[in-house]
Amino acid sequence: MTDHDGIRPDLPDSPEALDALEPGDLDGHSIDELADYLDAGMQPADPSIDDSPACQNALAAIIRVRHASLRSLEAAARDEAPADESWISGVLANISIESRSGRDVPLRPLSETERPVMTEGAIRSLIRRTGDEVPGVLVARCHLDGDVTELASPIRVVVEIAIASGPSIPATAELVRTAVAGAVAEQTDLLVEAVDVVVRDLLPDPEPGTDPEGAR
Amino acid sequence: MSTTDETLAAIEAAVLEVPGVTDLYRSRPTVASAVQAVRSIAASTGPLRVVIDDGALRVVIGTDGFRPAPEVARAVHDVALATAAAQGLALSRVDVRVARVG
Amino acid sequence: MHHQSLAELDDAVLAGRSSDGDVRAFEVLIRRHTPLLRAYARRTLGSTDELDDVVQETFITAWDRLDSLEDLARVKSWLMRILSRKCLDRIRARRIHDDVTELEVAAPADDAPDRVAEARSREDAVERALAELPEAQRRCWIMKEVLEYRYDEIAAELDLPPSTVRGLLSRARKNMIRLMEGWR
Repeated sequence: MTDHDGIRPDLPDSPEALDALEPGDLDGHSIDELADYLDAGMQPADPSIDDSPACQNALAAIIRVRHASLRSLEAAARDEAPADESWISGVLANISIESRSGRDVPLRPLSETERPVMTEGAIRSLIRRTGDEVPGVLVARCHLDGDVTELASPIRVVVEIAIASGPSIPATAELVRTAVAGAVAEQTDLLVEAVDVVVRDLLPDPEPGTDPEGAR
Repeated sequence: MSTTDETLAAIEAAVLEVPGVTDLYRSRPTVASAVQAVRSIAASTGPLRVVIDDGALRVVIGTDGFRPAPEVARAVHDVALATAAAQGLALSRVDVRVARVG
Repeated sequence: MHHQSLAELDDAVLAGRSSDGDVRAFEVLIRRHTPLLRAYARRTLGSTDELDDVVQETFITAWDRLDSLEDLARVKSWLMRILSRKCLDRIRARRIHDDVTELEVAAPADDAPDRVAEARSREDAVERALAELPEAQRRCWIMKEVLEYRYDEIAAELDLPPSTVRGLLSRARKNMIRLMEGWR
């Protein structure tokens, strides 16, 4: 029915035909309704659009223009040089780890003059590093559920991981759970009631010829 | 430097000597300060990293990830208090914040 | 797993880790998307030595605002929107009069279709077509179709009533389709 460009060859494709972009030409629909319909993934299905040849033609035209624009930008991106190393260092030097530190998590004070805390960001970084050290595992996200700002409040640690194909998933998840529970117990004063390990993803297989564990 | 500044400098030096402390950050750390974190007070140029706020000392540290962070925080508190007292400064509180573990 | 393998991860995972505070994951996002952001900035601002700064500012802002990224997989278009905002700020700063107000009247020039028809590729054609649009229409079109802004966001960004934005977009879409369909 349609050629590879999505054009319906049984309809006139002269510029004049596509000049007809007013609702009167599009079975009562404005070009904007059609664009919105596209944006909504064509859901819920509207037969007055789906069954209208004029609308289908216009939708195809909208898609063609959008794709051309995105491809054009991607082509221009390929002509740009990769990011300069010293420029990257400049960016990193200016981002604030404070802004991602999260809540202040109290450590247990033993005297009146002590007010120790650890940042949530430090704890997440610790969890990430601990999980990453388990073979075949990459930590995707992690967070602490519960009121971490209150000492002795029960906390649930949630670790979402990606796993390389190969190792047994339950065994690996258990390794992560144990390692994370141990690290958090040793390095914080959080009262952890559970460590949930959620396997989110399989990691892509490494390129042939490379060692999956890589070189450090 | 005023007496308070000398005391703060002495506290900084002492904190850096605490086993398990790898970094001493300014109160608003950026990645840049993490990368250039002062390892010895002799190399320090510019403003002090520890501050006194209403009688309370604020210290932001990174630890080595081996010695448990709560222990390191306590040791930092103890050393800061002792160093301050030795210089005639009474601190009402020492607020240690661990911003990085390992 | 070691840090080099971060470079092969998809945007969603990297954005998630960055949001959790992982600077190395964010660094991979910087390397990966800088060329696209530079290309967009170059198109918007011209080839100026502001490009480095505006892209750097984009990443610094992005780091602070990662919590507001709703769909982690769409981090690329989210970065582009932050960049677009900063480019707009710079354009406004350059101008004495903000002529985004010359709205309803403007239309592409009569010989616009000819220029588009001469393009040697569809990508080139779409860029020529965009260049033929009146500026207000072009800006709205790019914000909606390329950067995926919502209507109300465009209105807020350009300080225009939503009805005006819809009117501009309507014209822009029709003009783009007409101009592009003249290309073979």
